[in-house]
Amino acid sequence: MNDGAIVDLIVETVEGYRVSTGGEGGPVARETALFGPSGALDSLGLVSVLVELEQKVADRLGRTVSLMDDRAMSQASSPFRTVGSLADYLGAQLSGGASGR
Amino acid sequence: MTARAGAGARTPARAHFEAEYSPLASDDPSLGSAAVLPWDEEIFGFAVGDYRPASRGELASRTGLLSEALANWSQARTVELVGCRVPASDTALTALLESVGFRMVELQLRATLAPLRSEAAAPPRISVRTADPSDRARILEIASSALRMGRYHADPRFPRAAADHRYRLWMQRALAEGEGTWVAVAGPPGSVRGFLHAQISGPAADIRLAAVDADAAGIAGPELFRGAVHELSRRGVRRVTARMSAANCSVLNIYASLGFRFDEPESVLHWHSPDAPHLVSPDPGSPRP
Repeated sequence: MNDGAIVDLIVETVEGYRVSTGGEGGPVARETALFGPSGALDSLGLVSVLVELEQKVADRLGRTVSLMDDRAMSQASSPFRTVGSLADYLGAQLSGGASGR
Repeated sequence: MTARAGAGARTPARAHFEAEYSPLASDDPSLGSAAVLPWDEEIFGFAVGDYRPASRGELASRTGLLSEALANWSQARTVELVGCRVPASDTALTALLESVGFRMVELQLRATLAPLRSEAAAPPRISVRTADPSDRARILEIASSALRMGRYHADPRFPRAAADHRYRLWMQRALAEGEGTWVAVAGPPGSVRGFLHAQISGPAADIRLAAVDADAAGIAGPELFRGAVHELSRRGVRRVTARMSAANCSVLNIYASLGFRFDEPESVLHWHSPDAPHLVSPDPGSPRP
């Protein structure tokens, strides 16, 4: 899965969450802030999106990734700042050979 | 989040710092009672009082006496700020108190999860563990910078630095306390992203304060609370309570997601001594120091 496809998957997931919760906001793109004062999501929304994203990766790629764990907490800079930083983090897990199913 | 989890705003270790209430006016007990809060006085270096008002009926026709008694009581004790809590539904009492100089600074709610069942919270996906001495510096750093809720932070006349300092000392004290006090942290050693302080008494726990580093991954807040509830359940706790600002939607939503229910809405009001040297300008256009 290339970077563009990962970004598309994240955008689809964030927009799906927004629709399901009746949330509003502008278009979601690579540079969109996910969390924080100007972010697209609150903390619970972020958790929901990450869980959904893990499930989509499992369903579509047959791969198991764990986006919410101590590795994420240990990053010098949060991987959940923007769509792009999350795409990089997910891409690294996928290319790093996370355990398959 | 202050995420920012400025959960409760009560004083830890109450047993050691119990305020002693006495009539606001010694010659007229019907005006209510007041006390100097020892813990806050120790932290701020100036006295802070707490007023327990009489009923609206008792006070309604005597606001002039109340105003005078409040000023005299504060002046005699060099109190610069007096806090007061009233049921949020009693808007008439709030209006009466505002007529003598109190200003509402915060609406608080109580959150309760009871009975806490073992399946109430799934295990967290990040480390949520009992704090150890190596976490101390990080906890104090977060405590003094991450909290934006609580009545002192909400009061535009109260210096932000003093409010931050209060939470730092709060956690210093909590970390030094023994049985019954639990401090949990979110994140592995060396990467602590948040903390939670609770008092545990048998089957009951009261979450007193929680905060997450604003720059940390956004998942730390929900996972911290989930992990804390999970651990409390594992320890045999069956009832968890907390008080929080109604403005703290982020934390309210986290509590709601864990099954907490909300009640006891209270208006928190502050009265400032007219010549209080430590308080900041009431000019709404001025940034708070």
